[in-house]
Amino acid sequence: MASPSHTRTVTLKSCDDVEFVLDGSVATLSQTLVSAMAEDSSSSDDGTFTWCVSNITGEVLAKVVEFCNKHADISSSRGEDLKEWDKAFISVELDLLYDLILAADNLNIESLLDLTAQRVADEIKGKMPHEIRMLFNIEKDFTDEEEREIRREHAWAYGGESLKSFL
Amino acid sequence: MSEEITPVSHLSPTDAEVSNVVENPDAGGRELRDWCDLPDLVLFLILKRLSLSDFFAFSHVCKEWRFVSKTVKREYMATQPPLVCGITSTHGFYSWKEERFYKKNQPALKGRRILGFSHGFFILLHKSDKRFFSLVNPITGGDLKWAVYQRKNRRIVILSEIFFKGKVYALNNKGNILIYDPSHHPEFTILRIQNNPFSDSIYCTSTRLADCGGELFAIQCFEYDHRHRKVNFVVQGFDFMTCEWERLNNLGNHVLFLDRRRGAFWDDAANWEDSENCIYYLSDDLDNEKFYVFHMDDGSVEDISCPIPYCFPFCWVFPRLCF
Repeated sequence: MASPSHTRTVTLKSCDDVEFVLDGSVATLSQTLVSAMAEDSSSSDDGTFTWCVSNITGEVLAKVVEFCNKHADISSSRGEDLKEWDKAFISVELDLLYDLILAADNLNIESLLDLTAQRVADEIKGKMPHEIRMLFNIEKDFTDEEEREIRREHAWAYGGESLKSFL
Repeated sequence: MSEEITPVSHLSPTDAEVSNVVENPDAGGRELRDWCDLPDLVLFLILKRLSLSDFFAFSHVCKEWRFVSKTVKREYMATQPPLVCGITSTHGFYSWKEERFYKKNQPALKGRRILGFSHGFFILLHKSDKRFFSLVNPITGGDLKWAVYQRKNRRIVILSEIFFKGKVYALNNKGNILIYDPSHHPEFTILRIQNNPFSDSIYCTSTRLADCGGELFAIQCFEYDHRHRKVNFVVQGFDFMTCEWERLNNLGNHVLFLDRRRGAFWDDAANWEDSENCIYYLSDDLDNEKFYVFHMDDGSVEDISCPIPYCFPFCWVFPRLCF
């Protein structure tokens, strides 16, 4: 399965018709593309493969391609440098972060899923539920019954005190 | 994911997956992102990266997030190291990973003394009438149950007993294992042991039984001089075929947790950190706010501070057993 995907180039097409040409080895970061190329091996004569990503805009897809190019480049993808690069890469507005998550999920790119999930986790850390709701513009949709259950449940846990208040 | 793959030649805009991005007419064409509706896989990946307190906050945000957190609660809790339960003016739990103290009002503790933690419950002795004890879930505070059992033969000296394979297994001071079924026969049967590694243990401050993966173990702690950390632990595994104890020099990737009193718990630390083949224990020293790690491979001891004033680490509470 690996051999055809390395030799071919892949054209990614966004929902607003922006096209990106990727090296086959870069495209292997996406499990979705790997599977699609394997299924499509019969028509690989011309060495190109086109994939339309229906719900991702060109702006977002450009970021995804940037990420894949960086992560597939083995010479630069080492330890601390890459971590720093990732950190800068993922410092984006929440709207773009959301789009990147959907793109990473759609194309099934594990390293990008991990990076975006980490960013969301970092946003959540240390916040109370109402602060999280405010940040992500989420509406509270619990019934009164659930609300009571929640209040009983584990309010102590996040209402708990960090060590600083003890020392 | 494979079911989402569509050969490219067949893909047209009408086959497009439904986008999670909805148009918001009030925002002049700007799109609103519905964070509640993130794919479950992504929500799992986020949850995996949260601490215990953030996990709860996450689960209280909205219906969808609550549903997902409930689905993975068991798996999540299995990845959480035990908390140190400290006895202070207010009871609480110390998470040394998060360096955070969780204060927990425990109304159930009023008039009762904690004997230990087992199978997800605090065992509490009623001070007013010592024939009674209660079982209380330390995290939820619920599930209050009680039972009374009076042992008939009071001449037997029990070093340690555990609930193992549906029965109570007790180790007496003669090195024998006594077994009884609390629901049917409140009388002991004695399992005679071929060898007795516990007979010559004058330095042994406590011997405890523990179970792990359906096997029975005994742990002895030898505290020659605690102040100078001259401590040694001997772990024996019981072979039911030959009825013999066999000394283990290596715990593999397991970690043992010893309570201040009698409890001993195994945990697979591979889930939550790199350490293995070591024993975390709470010392009998009342004048410090620390607990210790004994490394089986070189016999070294290191201490971890539990910096809550007047907090005496007392027992370990495992999140995976409480939820």
